[in-house]
Order: sequence, then C-alpha cells, then structure tokens
Amino acid sequence: MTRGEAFVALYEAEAKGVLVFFARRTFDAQVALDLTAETFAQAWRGWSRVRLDSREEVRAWLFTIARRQLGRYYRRGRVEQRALRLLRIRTPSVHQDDTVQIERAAQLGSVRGLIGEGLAALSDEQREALQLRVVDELPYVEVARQLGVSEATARARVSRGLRALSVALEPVLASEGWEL
Amino acid sequence: MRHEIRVLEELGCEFERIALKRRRRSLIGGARWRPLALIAVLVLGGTSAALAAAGVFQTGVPIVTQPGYAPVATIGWGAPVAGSMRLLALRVADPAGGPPWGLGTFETTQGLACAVTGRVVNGRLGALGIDYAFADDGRFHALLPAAGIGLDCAPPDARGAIFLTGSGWLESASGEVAPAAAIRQRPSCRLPGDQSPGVRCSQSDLRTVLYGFLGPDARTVAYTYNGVRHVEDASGPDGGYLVVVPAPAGGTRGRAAKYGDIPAPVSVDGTYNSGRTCTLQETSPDTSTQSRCQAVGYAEGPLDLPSHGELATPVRASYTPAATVGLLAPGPTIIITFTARFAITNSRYSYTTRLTPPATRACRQAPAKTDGEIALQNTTRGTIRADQTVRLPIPLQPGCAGRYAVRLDLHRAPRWNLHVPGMNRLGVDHPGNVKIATFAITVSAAGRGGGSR
Repeated sequence: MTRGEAFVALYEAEAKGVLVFFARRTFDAQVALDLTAETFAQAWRGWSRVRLDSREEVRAWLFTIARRQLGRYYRRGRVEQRALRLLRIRTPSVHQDDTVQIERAAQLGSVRGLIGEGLAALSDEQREALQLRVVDELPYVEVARQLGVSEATARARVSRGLRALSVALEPVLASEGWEL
Repeated sequence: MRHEIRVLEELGCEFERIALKRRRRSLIGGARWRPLALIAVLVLGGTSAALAAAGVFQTGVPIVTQPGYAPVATIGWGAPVAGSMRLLALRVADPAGGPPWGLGTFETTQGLACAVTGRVVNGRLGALGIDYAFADDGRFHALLPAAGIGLDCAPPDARGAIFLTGSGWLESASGEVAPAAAIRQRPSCRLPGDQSPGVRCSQSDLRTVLYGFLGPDARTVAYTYNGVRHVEDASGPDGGYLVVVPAPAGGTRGRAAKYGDIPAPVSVDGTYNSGRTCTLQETSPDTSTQSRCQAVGYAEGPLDLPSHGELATPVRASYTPAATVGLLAPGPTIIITFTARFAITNSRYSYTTRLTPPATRACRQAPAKTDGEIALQNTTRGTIRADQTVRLPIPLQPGCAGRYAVRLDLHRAPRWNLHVPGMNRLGVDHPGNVKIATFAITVSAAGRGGGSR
C-alpha cells in the first residue's frame, strides 16, 4: 500500500468519527464538516512524517490535530482553512439531508438535552446566544441580528458558551473514549 | 470510498484526488432514480391528499425519534414513563379547519411533567402530513412521547400539580410537535428564520400556538384576537390552556419557548380562583411579567433534605495539568472525587462543586474570565446511586496558580426551571443546599497540587 493509499484508508476509517467529534462540540453540521476537512488537510500535509506502525498511534495523532482545530475555533469563532486553501480542496456544502444524517450520527438530540440543562449555569449573554444558535438552530446572521451584535461577536459568544458548557456533555461524550 | 453521509463521500473524493493524484469518477448513478422516485411519491401522495382535503385522515407511521435520539432514563429530563401520556379534553379549532389542536402531558423518569401540543385525530395527539411534513402524505401521524421530549418540562409541585406557562411556538399547521432534528420523518416546510434549504412555509400555513398549565387554582384564560375577546375555562385539574391563531407576518424566531420573545399576536391573561389576574403571554417580549405569573399557587412542599452528618463522606481533590473535559481541549483541571451518601433519583437534586480561584493578578487577568468563572463549578446530571463514586472535573484557567477554595454541596433546586435565570443557586448558602465539605487545594505554578477533606 502506498502512502497515498494509506491516507485514503485513514480517511475511510476515521472521517465519520472526526465529523461526529466536531458535530458534538459545535452543534453545526457545516462547521463540523469544515473542521473535518481542515483536520484531514493538515493531516495530509504532515502525512510524510508520520510513522505508520500502529493504527492507534495514527488515530491519536489525527485527533490531536482535530483538538487543536477545535481549540482555535472556540477562541476565534471561525474555522481555519489554511491547509485547505494550500491544497485547493473544496469543502462541500451541507444540505438539509446531510444535516439530518450528521445530527443522527452525532446523537445531537441527547446532547441538546444536556445543553438545555446546562444553560442555567451560563451568563445571560452566553445563554441567549446558545439558546438562539443551538436550541433554536438559527443561522448566525439571525443570531447576530437578534442579539444586536455583529456576526463575528455572535459566533464568539456561541463558541465561548459551548466551551463553558462543555462539562455538561460528559455523559454523552464518554462513549467516545475521550474522557478523563 | 463509501460513506453513508453524502458530504463525507464528496470530501473523500477531494482527498482521494490529492492523495492518489487522479480524479475519481463522479457518482452520477445515484441521481438517476430520483425523477422516477419523485413521480412515484407524487402519484401515491395524491390519493391521501385528496382524502385529507375531504377531512378524512388515514393513519400513517407514528412520530418517532431518530435512532440514537432516544431519551435516556437516568440522564437529563429522563425518558417518558410508559402509559403516562394524557390528552386534555381541550380542543381548539385550526384557523383553516380540519382536525382540532390539543394539549397533552406525560411524565418522565426524572420526575418531570412535560407538555406537548399537536392536531387531534381519533383521540390521539400527533401531526398531519401536510405543509411538506411526512412527504405530504395526507395522513395522521400519532406522537409517541419520546419524540415530544423538549424544553417544556418542569417538576410538578408537592401536590403533583403541573405548572408550565408562557410556552409558545411558531408552527406549521401540520402540528409537527417535536424538534425537527430529533424525529425520523422529514420535517415540514421551513419556518421563518430557518435558513436551511427547503420549501418556505407560506404565511397562511403558519400558526402561533400558545399553551401552558396554570395549576389547580386557575379559573379562566382570556385572550383577544382581531378585536374579539375570548374567555375559556381552564382545562383539567392543572388549569391547561391552548390558543391557536394565525401567525403574524414578520415572525422570525421559529421554535422559541418560554423566554417570551416570540412576537405573539395575542395577549393571554389567566384568572385564578382568588380573583387574581395576570398576563401569561404578552405581544411583546417581557420575561419579567411571565416570571411573576408562571407559578401562582405552586406548593413547594418540605425541602426533605438529608443532614450534613448524613452526607458526610471523604472528598478528594486532585490536580492534573492536561486533562480533557467534555468539549475542552486538554488543560489544567481539578477533579473532585467522593462517594455519594444520598441517592439522586430525579432532576431536582444534584451534587454540585464550586471552586473559588486565588485572588491573584494572574487569575484576574487570565483570558476569557467570564468563561473561566463559569467553568469553576460542575454539577451532576442524572441518577446517582448511594455509595456510587462520583467524579466532578473542573477545568481551570491556564496560568492561574495558587490556593483554590473548594465547596461541595447537595443541591435541591427550589423550582427546577432552567428558563428562570438565577433559579439554581449553586455552591452558596441557600436553603436548598446542604454543605458536604469545604477545603482548599493549592496548585503550584509548576502544575502540582492536591487536597482533601
């Protein structure tokens, strides 16, 4: 198997898991897909330096990249696309049917239930931002309009709110094996 | 490549092109059957639609949850208690005719009562296959309670009475009652504010649905629409009410409940046996009014809390510099570990722990201070056995070293309602809190620390 074929095999084996990982943490199918795309793009750029001894090690390396991307998204409220641009990779647009499939794969119904509970612990502005974006599922432009802030600020409030709310999701996320 | 999620397949083609330096043939076969399938749907749907237009609704598949969306009995709101679904006698006509709207309740395994609305056919609550819901099959689809778990749940009072007020949805006339993503069937037309692809609901298909339970002391509910005042008796032992009117043009919120921020076309007032009248739903957002009126006559009952001595248990705190908690990237974390002495069986109770960080400049100036303060508490969610070992990780702000005060409580929410800010007063002296332990843990700049009581 060539390194290229090995990378394609890695994508086949792990893409869904990475997408679910992001979907459960961003509640946005398009953002989850964009993060997945950038993660694999960065993985491909570093692929020549990776030892392929163990599937577990490769998977751990891949999720390290994913976590780094997630951290940047939380801080900035937008998805980095540096590697995607360098590789000239086009990220597909997510349509309604895809959203349903992604939310089903990520079991977002259960996660949303926990989010609803955890909202009480947030600041007023973060609770309102998460209510609009995660519970009401409004687009960011509408969230921004209703909050009376810029879209960038709305994205920042949502991503920070999700970060603060993370502990509410442990029971659901435990199944992924990424808990303490 | 074969991925069940289409966009992953498309994205995989891109990576295959990059990795193998060749173009993958586009998958066009999958599109060929679609026109034929569409024709079949139109032909099959035509018969039922004709029957529906005549007021006859055949029964379709029930509204069920997506695989993986099933509520969990021991977590969060819990799962519906089998056989607990009750449909009130209350019936409200739809502005366009057809089956009336109804209001129902069911109980959950976490001790909550939930309210659901929908269209009623043959004494069952559900949705109609119109407005693009259920592929416009013109059939009636009964609601199974698991698909109705949502935000409209609250604990009954000490007498078992239900109090839920100020709930309102902007809905399609189909009566599709569950969150669209949670149900297996295709959702209806797109509501205002929903930017996802799909057919927009026409204004004539939109309804404002306002409903709730005022409790056993309620007498009447009144609203004025188009200059006509309607006064109805509160329905059932818990004072249920339901108002269905055409949605006002320009509504953008879609599904929005309890916050009082949907543009309601009517103002709803409740009157109680004592003669007191208050506004339940206003035509403009005003959460303060709703907060004052949402639990008139609510019987709190005894706190029924164990004593400090009954809860006494060794509590341990440990520090780890790079733990992963929930959504967070690995970071400094304090983990509180203890053995529960009191079993938690419903959503009103929880164990909660709170850290007070050192009052140093580094802690004050750490980034995302608001987030950090919020993250400095954690609470259990769901059922806990007596003698179960409980671990509550609390992420810290990086760079904030020093002495952290730790407090662990058993908490009983005064009236569990996540829509009332500040209702759950965690980690403070409050009648609903029983302090289990207080102690300190010191986290050094080098990242070591430990403490226990």
